Amino acid sequence: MTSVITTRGLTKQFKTHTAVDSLNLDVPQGHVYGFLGPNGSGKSTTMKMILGLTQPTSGDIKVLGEPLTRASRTKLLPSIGSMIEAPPGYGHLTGRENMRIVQDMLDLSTPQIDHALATVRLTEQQHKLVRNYSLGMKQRLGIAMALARDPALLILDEPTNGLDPAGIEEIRMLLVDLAGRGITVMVSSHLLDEIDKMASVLGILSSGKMIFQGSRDQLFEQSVPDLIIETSDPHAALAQGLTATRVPEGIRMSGIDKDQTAKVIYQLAVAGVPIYEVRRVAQSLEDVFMDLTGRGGLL
Amino acid sequence: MLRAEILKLKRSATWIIALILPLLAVTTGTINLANNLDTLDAGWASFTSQVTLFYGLLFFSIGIGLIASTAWRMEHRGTNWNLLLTTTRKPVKLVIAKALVIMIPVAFMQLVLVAGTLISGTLVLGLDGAIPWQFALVGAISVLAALPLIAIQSLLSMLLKSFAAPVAICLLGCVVGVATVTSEALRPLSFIWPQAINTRALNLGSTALAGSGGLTAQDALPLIGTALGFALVIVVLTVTTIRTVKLR
Repeated sequence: MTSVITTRGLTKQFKTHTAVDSLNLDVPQGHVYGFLGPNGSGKSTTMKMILGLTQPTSGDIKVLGEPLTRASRTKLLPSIGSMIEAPPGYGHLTGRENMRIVQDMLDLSTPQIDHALATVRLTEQQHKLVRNYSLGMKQRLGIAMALARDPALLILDEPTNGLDPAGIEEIRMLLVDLAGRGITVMVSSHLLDEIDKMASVLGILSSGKMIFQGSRDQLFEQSVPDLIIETSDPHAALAQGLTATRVPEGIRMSGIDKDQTAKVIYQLAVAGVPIYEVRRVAQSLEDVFMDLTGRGGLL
Repeated sequence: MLRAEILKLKRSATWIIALILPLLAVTTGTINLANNLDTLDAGWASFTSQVTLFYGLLFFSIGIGLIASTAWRMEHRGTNWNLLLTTTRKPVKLVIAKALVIMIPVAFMQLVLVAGTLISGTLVLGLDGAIPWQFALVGAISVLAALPLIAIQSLLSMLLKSFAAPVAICLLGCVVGVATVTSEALRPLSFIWPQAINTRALNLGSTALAGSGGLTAQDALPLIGTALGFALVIVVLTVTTIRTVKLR
């Protein structure tokens, strides 16, 4: 799997705090990379460094196979679509005029502009002044500006902010579709639900540090879900000296791996405790996340 | 890149500024002449000198300050700087495009001044003598002479988020400029002080300002030459500033 973005030891220090702390990022080609973390965890700063909008204090960045320098940045810019912090746009101009500015800056063709506007479904509203746009429309215009150049890499910071559920679903489908066409998408969010449904690779940031990076399945492996042992005689089970809590259907045990599970079942069976069923609790991404961040909380 | 910048001028307040300031200068000049016909008796020469006196000392430079602030204000809104920096391939092109785009309303301002003066002199004051077409040349020369101030105000407005701060700095510069053109001792400075260069250019051939020089190549060319050289230095400085401050 080739990496489109690679960072090694990427660090950004401000006067009073370290916003990003020795980040090793690997964004694989053609995937939606979900960049997750609470507000203020350093997501925007990281994205700004990747775009060359702010200089790292230390560390290396490689984008599309090239080390990011002032010279390579100029060359790379037309291949990277981005939207950081909030959608840009000139309020005194129409959506179309805003697109024409991007067109002129990057020497794009008119069909590219038309296509980008159609993709975000703004064709009908393109002649309205942007200052009269709703937040959702501004958000979509921002995405259209990033998309028009037919980028190889799309970097979007909280693109679903302020969108209604239908709008969020639309963006999600769009990003998954773009990744299907080979475009690498790096998308940040502080909302788990949104990322969970579109990202195939996750990077989780907490206070500037990467606490997890990998696939969704790998993330679940990081934390072992609780074990439920269904029995008609929980008293007898608890009398075996197990660290467990009572639940309606039996007992519940935390932090028990496969080997330990086998031992517990053997112990209970030998003691004659009736076991009807042994299973793992269904775990949501949120549970895993809370587990990882030490219940520091997301949101 | 220039096309994008020109597009941003659409529906912008720069045009209102460029319309009001010269009309104000023509109006005050007309009233001043009508009330002092005894002393200001040289016809067109008196009238154009009255119009350009305060316009050259203050209105023109302040107009440039206001137009530059307006042109950059839209970039400071929201995340537009991100857009600008991720679509700008060469900072030098951006700096030159912005300066040229500030120049357009500035040139329009001069057009209003020249047309307004000629119309008011003919229709309102009914001045005798041939219409002084060379006044249009003064208007054109002063657009070029304004380049250093355009470049400086563009740099200040790019750096400062505040709309008023660069205009206030421009006003302070006008005060210094007035001192350099009126004081004999400071006069050499008036050839390199941006606001004073504007005053000198607008008063070429004027009868209202002492030592203002005639509307001749001998007096106009050094002024334009200095202005172009000065503007070039500021453009280089601005490009360096973008690289070190905005892309840090």
